[in-house]
Amino acid sequence: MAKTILMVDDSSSLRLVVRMTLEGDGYQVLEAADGQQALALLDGRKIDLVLSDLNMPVLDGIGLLAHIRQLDAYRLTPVVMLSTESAEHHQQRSQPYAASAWIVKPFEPPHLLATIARLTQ
Amino acid sequence: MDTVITLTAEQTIQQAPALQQQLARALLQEHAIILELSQVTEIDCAAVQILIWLIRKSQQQNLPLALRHPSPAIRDFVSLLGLTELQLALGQAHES
Amino acid sequence: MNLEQAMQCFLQESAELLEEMETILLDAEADNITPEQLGALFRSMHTIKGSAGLFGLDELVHFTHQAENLLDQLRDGKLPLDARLSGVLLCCHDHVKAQLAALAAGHALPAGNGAEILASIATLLQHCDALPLAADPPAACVPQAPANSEWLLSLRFGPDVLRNGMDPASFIRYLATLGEIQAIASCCTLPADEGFDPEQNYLRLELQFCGAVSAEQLESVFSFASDGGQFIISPRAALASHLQQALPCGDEAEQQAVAAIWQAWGLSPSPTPSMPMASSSDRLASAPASGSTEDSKPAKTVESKFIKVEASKLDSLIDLVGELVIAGAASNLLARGNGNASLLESTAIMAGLIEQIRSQTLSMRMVPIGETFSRFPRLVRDVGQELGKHIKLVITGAETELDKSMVDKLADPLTHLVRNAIDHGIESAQQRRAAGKPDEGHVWLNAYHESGSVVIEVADDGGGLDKQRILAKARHRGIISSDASLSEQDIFQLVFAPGFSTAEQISNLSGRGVGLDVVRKNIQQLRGTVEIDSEEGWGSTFRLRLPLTLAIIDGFLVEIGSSTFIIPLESVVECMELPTGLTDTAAQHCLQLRGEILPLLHLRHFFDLPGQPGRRRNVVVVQAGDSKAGLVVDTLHGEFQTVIKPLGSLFRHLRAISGSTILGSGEVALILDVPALIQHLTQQESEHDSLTRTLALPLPGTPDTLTTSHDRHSGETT
Repeated sequence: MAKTILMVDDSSSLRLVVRMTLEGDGYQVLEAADGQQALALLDGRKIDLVLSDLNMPVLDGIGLLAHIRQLDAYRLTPVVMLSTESAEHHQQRSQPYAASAWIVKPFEPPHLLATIARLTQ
Repeated sequence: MDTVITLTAEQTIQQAPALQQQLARALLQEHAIILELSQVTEIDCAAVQILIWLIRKSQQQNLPLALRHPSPAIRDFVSLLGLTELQLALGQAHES
Repeated sequence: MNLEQAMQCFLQESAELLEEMETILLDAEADNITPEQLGALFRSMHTIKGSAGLFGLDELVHFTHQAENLLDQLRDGKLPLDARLSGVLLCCHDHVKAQLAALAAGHALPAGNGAEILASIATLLQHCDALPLAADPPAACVPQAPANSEWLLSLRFGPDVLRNGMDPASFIRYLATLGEIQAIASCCTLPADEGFDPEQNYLRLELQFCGAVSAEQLESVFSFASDGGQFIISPRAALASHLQQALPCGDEAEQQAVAAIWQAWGLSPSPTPSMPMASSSDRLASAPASGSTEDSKPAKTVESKFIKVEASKLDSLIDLVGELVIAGAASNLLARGNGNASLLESTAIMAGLIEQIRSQTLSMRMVPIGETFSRFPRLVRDVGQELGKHIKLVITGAETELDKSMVDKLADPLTHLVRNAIDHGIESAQQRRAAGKPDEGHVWLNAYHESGSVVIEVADDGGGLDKQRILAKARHRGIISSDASLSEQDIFQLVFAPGFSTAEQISNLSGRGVGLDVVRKNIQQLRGTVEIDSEEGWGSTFRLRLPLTLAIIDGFLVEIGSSTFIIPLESVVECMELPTGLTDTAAQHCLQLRGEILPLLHLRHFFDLPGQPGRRRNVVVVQAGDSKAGLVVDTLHGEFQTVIKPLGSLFRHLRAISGSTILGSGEVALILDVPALIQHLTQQESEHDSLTRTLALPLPGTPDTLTTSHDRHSGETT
């Protein structure tokens, strides 16, 4: 069965590009525009991996990560943070919540696919 | 006969319930317990708490306990959190 | 992967972000900016940067990155949002917008003044490096952390912290990156009985920490673990208060263990009773860290309630609904002619449903006018600066809805009127002061619904229209004859005459060769009218009255000879029979109606239709603005709902015809342009003389010359 990826980013164009990249490799992609929408989507679904932007309105990437880690069903789900190059400070801030990987925007599709494949095995 | 228990590389909350059950069974046997710690590469607060629980239980029951060959991961963790009680137990283990 | 589609998405999204950025920047000049707005500003450039990277737009990435840096400093309170900064940010906005426009058009990205803007950004950034925190507003009395301040921490993680996938050790590792952990000790309070739960947290951590951080920063470290936890954080100087809070926590065993730790560190509670504390440290010592998860709103389902639909799909749906309206009307006509009662009933039900579909479909195209209004704060700011006038723009009724196609076409006329208000309406500061008015001029944009139309007002509190000067100029230009006596409204309407300008000095802005006549023409094309209210010395109001939609009108069907015409119902006041036996010329051209003189327009003459008028004729009294007229026709057919078809280019120039439609019978009917008809009558009156030459439709480009033409109109009416 196709793995389901939840893509969280406030940029619709970025979501579109990621969706096209992932769907091309046979993943099923759900989209959310911020952390809170993402949490609503997680509820009651089986999601294999969360790919999240850092800087978003309402609930940002690290807030989302912290919430995800408190959900019984998603405590161990891989969460990949997409960030820009200046995100060192955030990497530290998110340390306690164990993001599974960091990918720097603009991402290379092969790199993104390889990371996701590794984490969803 | 001493009960020797070797902890595997990963000792976190995921292994915690099983580890605690294993140690509880060992305590029931009323033999000296030897915990082999050399292979542990990852440890968290859940696992550390179980070690402290084991130390106190064995003291209550007057059972000899040896924490052997703590790995660098364990030593680092213990000093990071200032876990004096565990540090002392490890120190003794090291000396013995 | 479909790059084209992704690029379209990127352009659309960027346009929205830029618009939001501009709105905030213009808004924030007057008001205090909120943290949400600061966040949104930052994200505007941040998101464009992130997406531009995907498309390899390196220059744009570089530029937006610098702008983002600037916004980052602004967000952190290291730069104040003063006129200079907001000016630079608006330049950033313009530059990015221009680049994206070039991209959309498939042109090379223009260099523009990007380098200059980057230089200004660099200067501002240098400035803020040189003055760290100096620009902090005094209101934000955040206790600032002097370099390497000392802190005491008592961290009681909640019992579920481990189960929730968080390891207290990770927080400590992170803390270690912020400064130096000078001392740390843990105590572990296990249950005395057999109730040990391997997944429950029993650890508590005490720390002495030194680092260049604020209390808030420290609190934020633990904000996500605050569920059921208690984190007491105090400056070293507040030791006594800290221990007073920290030591009594938990059961006896925990209290003893914690007391032992602090004693071992040589930090015992001072024997003196509670030390008087500064209020700020009380706040610092607040127990649970702020921003806890409980504070955030519960995650609720927020799946989008909107669907984006391509505009063209909606347009073709509306076209189809239009056809359906016609077909419905046709079957209704057939049923009536047929006299079958049950068929009539079923067509009536269908007509009701079609009416519902029609209004639902049209409402889908309704958008708030605010979309158009949103460009004006910037315009007013720019034009005001250019003219050295201080102007405040007040917008009301931005939520008023009207047809999307209309919104697009309103932008130009409104822009013109607003410019005009600032340029010609509002006086210079000196003149205002002399008149006892505040220096700051006001321009109002106001929209509301009124009896089936949308009204949009552009008002100013400037000098008002000078009637004498308008008259003098109109006479001078030969627009009116020297002895014409005009009502106030007629005088005001003269400013819409082609080539009219009331300002003594032609300013930079108005000297663009476009007069107010274009505004009136644009509005009339939208089947709207323009009225002017003005009081000398106190300001003017230009009031636009527009139909809600352009696609369908409720019309009134009339017949002249064998030709059918439709009069928009909104302009019909009443109908009556033309009194018979009017023979003298004067009576042919006006009618006494309840004490008022009603000018008459014989459409048969006006359109030069063949055939003789019947013995019984009717008058349809129509109104546009404040003027009324009677249209003389042969037969009245009653109300008829119809879809407007634009006239082919061949017939565009026909004055007094605003469109055509196809009747249920398949015949073509022309839709009358009532304001143009009335204007024609008014002109005729003011000219006094040309009563006998009111025959036909003027050629394009010669609107004021009446020529007779026999071959330019009908055809379509049969």
